[in-house]
Amino acid sequence: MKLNSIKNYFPSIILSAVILFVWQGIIQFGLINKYILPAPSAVFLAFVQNLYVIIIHTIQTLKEAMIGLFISVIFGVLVAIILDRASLVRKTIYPILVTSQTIPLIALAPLLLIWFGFGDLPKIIIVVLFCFFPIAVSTSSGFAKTDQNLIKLLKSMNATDIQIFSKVKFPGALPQFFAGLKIAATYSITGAIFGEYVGAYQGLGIYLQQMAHAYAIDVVFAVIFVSAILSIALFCLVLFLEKFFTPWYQE
Amino acid sequence: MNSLKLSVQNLSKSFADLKVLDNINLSIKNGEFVSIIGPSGCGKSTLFNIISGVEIQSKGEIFIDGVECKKRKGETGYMPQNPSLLPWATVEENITLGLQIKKQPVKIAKKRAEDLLKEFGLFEFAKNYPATLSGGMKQRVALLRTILFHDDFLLLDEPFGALDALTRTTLQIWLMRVWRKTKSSILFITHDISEAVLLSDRIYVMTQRPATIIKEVKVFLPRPRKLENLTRPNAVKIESQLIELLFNKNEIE
Repeated sequence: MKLNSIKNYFPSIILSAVILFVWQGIIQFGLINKYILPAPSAVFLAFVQNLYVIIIHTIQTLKEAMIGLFISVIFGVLVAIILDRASLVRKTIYPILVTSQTIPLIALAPLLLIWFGFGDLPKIIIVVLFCFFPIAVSTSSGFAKTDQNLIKLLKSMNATDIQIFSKVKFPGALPQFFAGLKIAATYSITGAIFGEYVGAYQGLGIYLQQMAHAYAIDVVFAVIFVSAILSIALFCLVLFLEKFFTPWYQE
Repeated sequence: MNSLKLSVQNLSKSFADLKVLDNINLSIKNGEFVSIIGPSGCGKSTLFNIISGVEIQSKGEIFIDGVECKKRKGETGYMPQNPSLLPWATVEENITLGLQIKKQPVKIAKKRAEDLLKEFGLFEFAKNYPATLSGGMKQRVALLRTILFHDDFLLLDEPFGALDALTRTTLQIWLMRVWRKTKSSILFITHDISEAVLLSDRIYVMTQRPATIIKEVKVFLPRPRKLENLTRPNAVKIESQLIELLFNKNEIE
């Protein structure tokens, strides 16, 4: 299984290596000015030289992303449960939920900064705004797809609504929940960085902005690289949780 | 011993303007195996939904153990058409579903499941997920789940309808073996004539919608029955009688 999955990634690893190699070559031969586009080696050097600072900012960003993601899970699942309970509620809330996603966060972010200051809270709110929606929509469609025969069977056994939920609906919606969580996990890092970009004391977002203003493009690339790694790591964590909690489920 | 397990009297059911069941009368004695045979879509499943308490009748009364029973949820062991196993639960966990609903202690539930699985040759699959089982195995698991929930009164809704002919025969024989042990009262829906004859003590014949019972046929064949019994003149006579009742002449000729 493990070996197999490494094999699966082999072509994309090769492609990435080729791209890095060509990129390095282009800069080496002076085809593009290294102050416009730094070579991969320079990016790596910048990463190592600024490692300590990057780690501090990374911890801040990761903290916001994880807290935001955690709140999104609770909030998203709660919304999905409420949507599932009654069709009137669904009709009322669903359009509002969808509308909430059409608000450009770029407009909202400065407002959150004015209302809640430069601390963690506005970033966490932005992460939640990014993340709860895929979780809520996905989980609620999981609830909606519950096998009606199973519900009938449990009703014939005189099961309570709570039993029907815990024995059938909830476990049945888990694969869908994880599908939503995978999307949310990748959004969470982006969301946190975006929140910081507007204004923060600490975090990859504000660091990115400072470095861009200082024309330290090699550091900017290093930070982009770190944020990508963070997103992938969170995604893998969700994959692991999915395998753990839904061992019966195979795609 | 000969008292009635179930008695359905003057039962009717309509959905809006659509009359599905019309004045159904039937009964099952304790320990009796009774089949209902009729064309597909005639409302047999609706009848089961009503007896199991999932739906409510428009008219008529239902007596269980001689007492009129208005809220029947939990009073019957209902097995739906498809196996309806929980994909995330092992065979063992699936079988104890009813006991979990009844909030029986896990230990006792597990022990009973283990005994049942051992007795009927499924113990080696106890830790399997349903996805790894064949169609016939799934139905066996579903039947054991039903028995563990309620072993004295079973409602089986075309349990073997979706299986291939060979597997179906194997399961019919298996079901008779299980029934000899449990001595349950069974109401069995089918649209397979020889299945009905092989398994039942009595057969009710139902018509197209609005469904009503047009005939009650007694099956006098010795038990325990074997497949060969179906070729006895007696059995053949019953089969041809059922064919006549179920099809109108134009369709056959």
